[in-house]
Amino acid sequence: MVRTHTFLDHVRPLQGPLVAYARRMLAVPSDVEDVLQETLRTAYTKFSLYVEGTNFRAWVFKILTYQILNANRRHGRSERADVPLTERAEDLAETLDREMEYDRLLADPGSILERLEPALARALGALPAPERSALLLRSIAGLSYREAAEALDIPVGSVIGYLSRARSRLRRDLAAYAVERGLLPRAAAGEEEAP
Amino acid sequence: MNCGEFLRHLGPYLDSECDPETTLALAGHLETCEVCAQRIAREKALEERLARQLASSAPGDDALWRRVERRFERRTLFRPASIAAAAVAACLALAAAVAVWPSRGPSDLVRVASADHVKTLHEPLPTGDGETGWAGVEDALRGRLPFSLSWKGPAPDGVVLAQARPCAFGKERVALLRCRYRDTDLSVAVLPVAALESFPGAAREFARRGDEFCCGDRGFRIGLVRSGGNLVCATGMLSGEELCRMAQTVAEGIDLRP
Ligand SMILES: [Zn+2]
Repeated sequence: MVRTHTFLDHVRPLQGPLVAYARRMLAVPSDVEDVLQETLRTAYTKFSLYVEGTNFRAWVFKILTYQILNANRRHGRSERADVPLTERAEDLAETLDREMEYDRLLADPGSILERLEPALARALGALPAPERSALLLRSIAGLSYREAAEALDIPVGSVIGYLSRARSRLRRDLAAYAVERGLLPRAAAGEEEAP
Repeated sequence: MNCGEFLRHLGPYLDSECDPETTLALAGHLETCEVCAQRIAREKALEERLARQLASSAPGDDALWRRVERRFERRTLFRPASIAAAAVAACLALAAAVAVWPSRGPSDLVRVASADHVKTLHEPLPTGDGETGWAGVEDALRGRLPFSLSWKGPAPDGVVLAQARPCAFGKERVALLRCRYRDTDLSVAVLPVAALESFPGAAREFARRGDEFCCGDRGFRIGLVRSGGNLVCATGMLSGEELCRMAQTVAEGIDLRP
């Protein structure tokens, strides 16, 4: 019997997230095309194993993540699958509460973030691979904690830890960068909020 | 629950990943604490803004994706990696593709139509000014086929006719229209319905399944339509329904005269 949907019918709606995720994850930009192509090829050969109605998105992102980590490794980038969560995972709120600059970023993220793209790319690049992929699988691919854990082959608890760390680092870096570039006023002790 | 406890759950709360018990406790705190309510609203706005920025596309993303799909179609569907020689690979891949189709029935016509499609996939298609266009069909094929062909309908929505040329399907001569639709290469073969005599398998299938049907699997398909005096086979990487619709549009728009 003819399948109701072709493989590409499944993949096409994910085009945007797949490209964005690959672009943000890969160490070498010229790898994006090859890695996506290889991901489609792998997914296609395994497509008969994919069960119609289950989460195709999570399944494809798992394959893509694997291809990306391999490609980065080929360029000598250390991409250990698990960076040990030595200390208790930092609480997003706890680390950021002390940062007054962050508080200002929080007040008006829209206008500032647009001008922070270079800083965002740099801050992302500075994150260890598991933190970066946990963050991007969540925010670009829209995967749940359980799906991200499955894609990265790590426990759900680790996803929560990585995600929390990635978020606070990213926010802190962005706030610092915004101050550096004069996009946010430097917070001074006892300063009044601008009206 | 106090503010400190509340903020410890900030991340999972933003992700809607707290268990029901925690979610209820958090909601309870939010009702009574203006400070946390405001904080969570701001965090949520930042998170959404950040997610949008992270997922934003770059110029060239669409073109990149088109190249990826095209390479995927050519290499995966028609050239198994295990076979080195391209020519051998194309033949074997076709055999493999046809093998999953019914071995009887329409396979005689399907086999020649898909063989030709596989072959044409490796030829570059004209673009822009070099394109034939639907109005140019008659001129492009004049005197090159045992029948004349012109386009009488409106141009099919979203389908670009890149090239029209004669082609042999066994001993039958057909008009081959090479089209682009949503970045997919399509071969649309048009022949007089009388040519079905040369393809008894396809003729039986039409008799059994009506004037329109599709076959094929795993991405590569063919839609066959018999309408008026025209027989149209659309081949490419679309769903069977889309191919049949495409074939139907061409069958209705084409004027074929002996
Ligand atoms: Zn509170």
